[in-house]
Amino acid sequence: MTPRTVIGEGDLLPSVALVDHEGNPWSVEQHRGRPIVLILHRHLA
Amino acid sequence: VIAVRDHLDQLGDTLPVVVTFTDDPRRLAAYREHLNVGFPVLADVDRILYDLLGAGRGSIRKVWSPGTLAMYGRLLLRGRRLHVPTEDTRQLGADAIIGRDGRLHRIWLPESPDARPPIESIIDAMRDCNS
Repeated sequence: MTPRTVIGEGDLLPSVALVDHEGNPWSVEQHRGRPIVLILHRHLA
Repeated sequence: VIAVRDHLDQLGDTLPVVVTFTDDPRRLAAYREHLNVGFPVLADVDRILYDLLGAGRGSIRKVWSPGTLAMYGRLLLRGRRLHVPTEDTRQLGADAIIGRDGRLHRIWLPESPDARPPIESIIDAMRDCNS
């Protein structure tokens, strides 16, 4: 399996399709122009 | 999450987002309510974003370090109800700031679950991002 690329500070975040709490598609691109703080959780315990 | 929620007034027009890798996105709404946050809670089921940002899996020793156990102890003392996780407990989290131009401005990759950045560091990085 080919390891995925890890981006570094200064790199453009590639498009990643996510799903929000209402079941809708969500992506960073939809919010371009606004800073975003991503809090990557460990699990839902 | 709670620290960000409680300091929103210092984050300007920043959009905070909680990302999980739950394979059951139907749990997100309940989890958002549990966190009592008004911002999005997302699922990255295939951990693509986790991988892109370099958020890896920790060793058992690091994940269940004394600091982690102390962190859960503090949560219990505050009345938090903890549940046995059914997901990957070795997946470490991360905190990142994406600038207005869509570029990764800052990333924090903890070596253990209790090593998240203080809210002051996030606020400072946001100010730097906006300057």
